[in-house]
Amino acid sequence: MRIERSRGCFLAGFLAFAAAIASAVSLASCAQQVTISAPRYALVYGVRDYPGSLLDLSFTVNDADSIAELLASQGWVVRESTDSQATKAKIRADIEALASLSSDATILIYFSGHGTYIDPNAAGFSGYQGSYIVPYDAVLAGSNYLEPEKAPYLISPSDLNAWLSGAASKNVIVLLDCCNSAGFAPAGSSIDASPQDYSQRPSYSAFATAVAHFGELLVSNAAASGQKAPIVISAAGIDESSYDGSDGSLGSIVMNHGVFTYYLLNAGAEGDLNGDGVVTVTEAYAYTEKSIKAWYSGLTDAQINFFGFNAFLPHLSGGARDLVLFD
Amino acid sequence: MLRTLTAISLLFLSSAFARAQPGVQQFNVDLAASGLLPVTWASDSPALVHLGFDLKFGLEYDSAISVPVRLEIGYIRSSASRVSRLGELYKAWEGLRVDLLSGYDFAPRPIGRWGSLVFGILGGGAITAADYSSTALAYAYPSLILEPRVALNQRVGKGSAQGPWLAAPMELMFRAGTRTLAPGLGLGWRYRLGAAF
Repeated sequence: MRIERSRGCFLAGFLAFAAAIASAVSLASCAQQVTISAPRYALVYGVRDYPGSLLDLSFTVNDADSIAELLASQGWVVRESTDSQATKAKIRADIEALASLSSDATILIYFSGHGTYIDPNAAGFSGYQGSYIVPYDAVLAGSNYLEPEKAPYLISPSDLNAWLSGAASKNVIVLLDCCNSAGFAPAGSSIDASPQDYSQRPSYSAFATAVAHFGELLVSNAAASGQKAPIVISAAGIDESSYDGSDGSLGSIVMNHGVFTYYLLNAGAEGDLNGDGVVTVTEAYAYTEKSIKAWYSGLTDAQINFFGFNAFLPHLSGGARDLVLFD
Repeated sequence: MLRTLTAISLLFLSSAFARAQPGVQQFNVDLAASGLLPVTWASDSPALVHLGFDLKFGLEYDSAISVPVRLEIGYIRSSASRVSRLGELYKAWEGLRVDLLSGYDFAPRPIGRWGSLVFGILGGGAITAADYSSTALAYAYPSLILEPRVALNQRVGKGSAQGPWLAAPMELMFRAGTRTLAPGLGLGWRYRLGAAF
């Protein structure tokens, strides 16, 4: 009897102990009053009106305007460039000018426009391979394709990293609302379980992926350097096109923005998943990813087929670090 | 580092099994929960505190020379860290883990009708398959564990016993270029088969 009674008491105590711990973890971040004292600088680019008219987009300048406005309202020092101002040389000069900032600063780079992926075997593009941002001057007027002669005007992930290497601050956020942009969001020592083409491949949970690739991940983990790298959200996988937005004709939501940026802007108000008063890059990613999935699942097959529209999902770069995006 | 962990584990295993006396083998099964206070840092990033917990199912073999060998399967979850004044933090994560531990149990101390107290200390390693919470990013990491503990053994019948135990695990995790030191406080219940007081 004594043992049964003590066992019952222990069981109750054990459950109370476990529940208290779980509750404490859930509430952990809520309790913190976050005040960010870092100086914050944002470079915001949007290209809608490319040379000629064949590759023009619809809402990318709206995207840049709204992101710039939101960041400025939160204390970021914002420099915005749109259309013909957003050339490769200008973007490079802007980024390299950040070298004078203190190491305490947080830097954000946002781009809304075309992105592309160059296949290793693409004719005429020798020396070019992978994901690229397409600034204003990388498009040839009158062509509705990327032309090899314009390839030097594309911006690669290594270009971006080289330009950023001179900055004293290593707290860098990169947000890309363009097609094929996941090449800018390396998984590092992680595996990104989100497929590079969401419409073609099944999606496995990150946890199932961790179990299935356990040995490989342990080896990658051992090789991780821990050096600070930009924290990146790309709108789409390497094999995906991000959608330039809905004016109400695709789905029931009037966005007037690219789909990714529409939900990224909403994340500023609704993306605080743990209730601590700030939205981190990871929270913004989680909010946009979930919202885009929900939006896509609400489309009819007829709508998808009519627009030749493929599904896409944002991708987040790997690593344990995170930064506050909105507060 | 993995080779070191494996070597340490094999050393404990071989010593325990080689010197155990036939006929006095004792097996325990147990369930435990721990509260954790992980602190993560990196070479050029600040040290920031998380809150976490783990739940574990354990199977333990006690040799006749007080050298237990312990296998655990568990679930660990940690919140995102606190935010630095510069807006830096570390992501939340969760994972499934396998731990292998060994160490030494000191002689039982009878405490009257309550049974006996056994103090011990364990060391070993763990490997964890994890993801960063709310992301699609999967990763895995090894860790080292040091765990002082005290168990209360109560006899419940011929050849078996049970009782609560309290542990203060300290774990060093090698996670993706960062290090996380996670002290904790654990409470468990174990059922011992083939007990001899």
